[in-house]
Amino acid sequence: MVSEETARWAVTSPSFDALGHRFAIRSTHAGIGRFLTDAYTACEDPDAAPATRYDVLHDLAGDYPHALRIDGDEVVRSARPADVVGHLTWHVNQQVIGRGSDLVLLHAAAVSSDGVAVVLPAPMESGKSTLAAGLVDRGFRYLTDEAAAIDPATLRLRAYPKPLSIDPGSWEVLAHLRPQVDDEVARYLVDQWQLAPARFGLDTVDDDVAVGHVVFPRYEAGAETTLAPIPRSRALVRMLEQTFRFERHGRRDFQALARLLATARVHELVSGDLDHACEAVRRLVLGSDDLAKARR
Amino acid sequence: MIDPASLDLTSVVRRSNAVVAAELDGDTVLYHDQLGTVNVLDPIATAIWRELDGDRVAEDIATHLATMYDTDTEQVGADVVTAIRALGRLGLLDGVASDPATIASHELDIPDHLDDR
Repeated sequence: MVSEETARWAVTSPSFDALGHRFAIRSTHAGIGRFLTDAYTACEDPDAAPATRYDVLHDLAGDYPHALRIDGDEVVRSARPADVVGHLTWHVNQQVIGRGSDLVLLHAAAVSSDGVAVVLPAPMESGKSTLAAGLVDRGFRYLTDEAAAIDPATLRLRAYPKPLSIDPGSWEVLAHLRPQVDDEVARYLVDQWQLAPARFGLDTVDDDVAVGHVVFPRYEAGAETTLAPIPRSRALVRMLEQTFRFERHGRRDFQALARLLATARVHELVSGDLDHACEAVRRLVLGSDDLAKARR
Repeated sequence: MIDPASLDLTSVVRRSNAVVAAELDGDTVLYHDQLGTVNVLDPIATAIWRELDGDRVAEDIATHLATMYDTDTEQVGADVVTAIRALGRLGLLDGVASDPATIASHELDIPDHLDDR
């Protein structure tokens, strides 16, 4: 047992900077400490002085041995280690979104191919993280699965390469990506997998990319895969409805997204099959002519 | 404030400064940054919206559009009156009384969890 007063840190992470949220993680358990460090490695910035410190305590005395402290304040105390990881990742998201006032922040996943970003705005439970994981697994580069950050001046996308958060409903279709962890660390991930971008290979993360496509994904069990263009006016309304804190910078965000949509290609993707959905996006981005050449 | 139902071909109306507009593929998306509403105008309504500069009566606008699109002035006049009454009810015109129920149905539908952060 580790007393709260004498916690010894088995792992202290390097500094991370996620769109201005600078943080570090410590853990009394080496396994989960290393796992979380790896999960956020794409956000590593050795020059960032951490403004927030997350402490993961693994083996405290009593019935609730798992705790998360943020800057010394205990915010989670639980019998379930998964509560700690769930709150930590949620809090990081909150801080990122709360700070990015100089950026238009869309509730969207984003990937890229050959320097062209595909933005995937969607409400919760639409399958955007699963689709992003599927696309990165097929060679796309990763930008985010939660908040697409668009510079309103340049309209380029900045990365928020958090770990991809995969809900249990998608574990079967992504089974080959199951985190390779021991049983004890696996207990931290029973609610949601956190997949480090590096899990997909080297040089997976992109940054500062022009947006070429906006695709609105929607998972529907059993649905045929359809990828159909939609009017840009309708797309703008749907993007506004997925903009974080829109009313704070409404005019700026509206104008930026309208400018972005003036040149981006816009589609709606409905699918009940991850392979087919990824192939539809791949064909869209590659273009039918290029695809034909690639197959020759 | 003018009742939108009283607007006719003799009326002079102007777009609200609180509205920011974006034309995309012939449609126009309007965002009212005080009311928090969004409206999408089709190409005909877009053509009328462009002309609402507060300098001309609606009849002159109808004549101008009928000439531009080579169509019947009387029909265009009816379209212009219908459009300015609807835009007025939506709070998109200066000096025209808006209709709260109409506005409520066009408020942007942003999930709470995107606003709370």
